[in-house]
Amino acid sequence: MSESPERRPVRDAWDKADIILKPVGGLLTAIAVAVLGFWTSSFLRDREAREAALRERMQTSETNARLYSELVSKREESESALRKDMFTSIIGSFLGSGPTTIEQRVLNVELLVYNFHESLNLKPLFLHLERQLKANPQRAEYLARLNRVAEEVSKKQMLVIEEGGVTFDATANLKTLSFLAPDGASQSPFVARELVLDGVRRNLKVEVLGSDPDASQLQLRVTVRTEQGRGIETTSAEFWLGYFDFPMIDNIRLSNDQRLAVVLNNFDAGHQSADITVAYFPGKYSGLREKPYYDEVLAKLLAANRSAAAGVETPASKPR
Amino acid sequence: MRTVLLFGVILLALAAEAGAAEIHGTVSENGKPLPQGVSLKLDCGATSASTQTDQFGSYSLKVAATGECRLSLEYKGSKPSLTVTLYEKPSRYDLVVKDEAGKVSLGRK
Repeated sequence: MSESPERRPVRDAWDKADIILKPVGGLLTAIAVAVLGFWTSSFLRDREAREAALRERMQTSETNARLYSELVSKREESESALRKDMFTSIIGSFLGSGPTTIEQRVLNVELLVYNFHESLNLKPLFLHLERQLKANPQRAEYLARLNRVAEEVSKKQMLVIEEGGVTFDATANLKTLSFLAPDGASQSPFVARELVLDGVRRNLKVEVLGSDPDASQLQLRVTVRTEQGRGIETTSAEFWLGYFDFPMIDNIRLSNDQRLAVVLNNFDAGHQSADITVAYFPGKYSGLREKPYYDEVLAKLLAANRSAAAGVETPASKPR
Repeated sequence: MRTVLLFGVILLALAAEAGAAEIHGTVSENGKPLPQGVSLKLDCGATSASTQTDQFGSYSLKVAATGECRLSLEYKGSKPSLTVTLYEKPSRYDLVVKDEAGKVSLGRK
């Protein structure tokens, strides 16, 4: 019995490749899975590390902010306590019964003015001291000191006010109770200007009603006219103006949280002349003595919200 | 005689110093400060003083007198002026120059 030789199948290149690649394919799959696993875990590890670093940075910055605000509030607390003690001890020297010299009182006024000129109206104290100085042999020296401190504070306050407000100067003739016109050639019974601040246009009129050469004061009437919708709002005030009226504290309150103040720069009893500055400024530049009106605060918040909403809506409402 | 004269001179100098008044401020035109070197003159009757604006359009003048004086400046071939009042303490006069149809005028801001 003869066996026919088994015929070996003919394999082409594809079959050979198939034989070789079958085990290699498994190997490659395993390698790919391993590489993918390593890459994924490495990516996740990196992301976690980044997130952890970010969390740490945020925590550090939060801690720093908390620490800073604590420090600031503690410093403000200690400063307030110091100012309170200082104020109590200085004001006590005026109201108490203990003996104090004029020198001490002038020094105390200087301390009060330099430290509290934005919070208190110190005009009564100035006038009180001025009255006490009447019979003093060193009257001229002490009055010069009081006038100097008042002038310095007025100038300091005006520098701040001029940053956010508008001002103009005028020279009053106390003999004719008139003002020198801006061209310096003619006299006018009043000085009037139209000033605009934060979109609010007002007409200001200042008149001189009288003068007190002994006290270096002049009596003024200020009339403010503002266009409100269809009507005109008019505010008028009469007051005596002297060197001890400080603009941040002693001012006229206007609508839209705005203020108007008049400052006496110079007073010459001999030549019967006085130089004044009129300042029209936002309420945020006035002193800390005045409490804000709630309706004004609400109106400001509503206006801010409206403008913010308008700012957000504007790009979206644009036609595309 | 010499002592009396010397004493008189010292007294005059002291009087002038005591009565010295200052006027200062800026000069602008259309909201911009005037260039450096514009001449200003202050006439107070018997006494006068002159100066020029600096690079910021500012000026300062001192005279030994108080009361009404005349302040003038030379600009664009004109010499506009205005009445100012001087006090013992310095006075601030921020000035505005207006050129209307070739007529230059000076006023207080």
